[in-house]
Amino acid sequence: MYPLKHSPVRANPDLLPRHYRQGMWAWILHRLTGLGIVLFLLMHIWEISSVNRGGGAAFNETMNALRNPLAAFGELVLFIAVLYHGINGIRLILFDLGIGVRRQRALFWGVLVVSGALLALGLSAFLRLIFGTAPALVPWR
Amino acid sequence: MSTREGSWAWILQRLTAVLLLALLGAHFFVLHFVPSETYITFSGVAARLQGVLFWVIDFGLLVISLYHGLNGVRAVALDYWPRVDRSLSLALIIIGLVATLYGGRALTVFIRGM
Repeated sequence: MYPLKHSPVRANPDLLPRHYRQGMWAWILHRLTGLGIVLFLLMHIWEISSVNRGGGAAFNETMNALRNPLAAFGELVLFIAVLYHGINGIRLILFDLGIGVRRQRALFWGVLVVSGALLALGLSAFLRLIFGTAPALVPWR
Repeated sequence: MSTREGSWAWILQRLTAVLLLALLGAHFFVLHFVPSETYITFSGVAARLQGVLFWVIDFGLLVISLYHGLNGVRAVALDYWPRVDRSLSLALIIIGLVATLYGGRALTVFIRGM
């Protein structure tokens, strides 16, 4: 697993994933969600820019093609990633302002609770889209 | 990259983060809580983008999210490949400019409505 004789993980067992504590998970999740959101962002710009390639007809075609359960599932994953990244981002900015650094572990649980609560608010709309009981991408119908 | 540029990258990442919270909140609200057509269509989006506020939100999101996202990619990558700063930064700047111009052109197509 860690083949290097002088690997930092050998020198410091705290670097083993099973020894990670809340702050480390918060940091890893922030990075992973950030990288995932960047991939989505580039895809999103590419899809919207179908108007550059074939005008309004191409845009409508792209939007129709994206109206499927798999895309809705992808949007659910995006929703979770954005909620976590945004709310943990608030936690990080508070630290930069000198607020709550000593309570960073408790604040990580707070981030998960707030993200989870907002996810719960949106979840039914996503489930209707994924399981095909909603007509379109509009939660108010 | 010098310390001075590094600290600008750091402060801009925080500033754009706060702007994104507001802009993304607006984007989410407009798309999901302002009743419009059932399906997303070119004509529907073009009609909405006739309002100045909406194209300010969309252009703002395009530029600011690309900056924040690509600067984040740079920060992550430099932790693993610290010596590629110049070439990596140049590549990310090019990706950002191309995506801004391409996406910006798409927005102008909607605003002109044709």
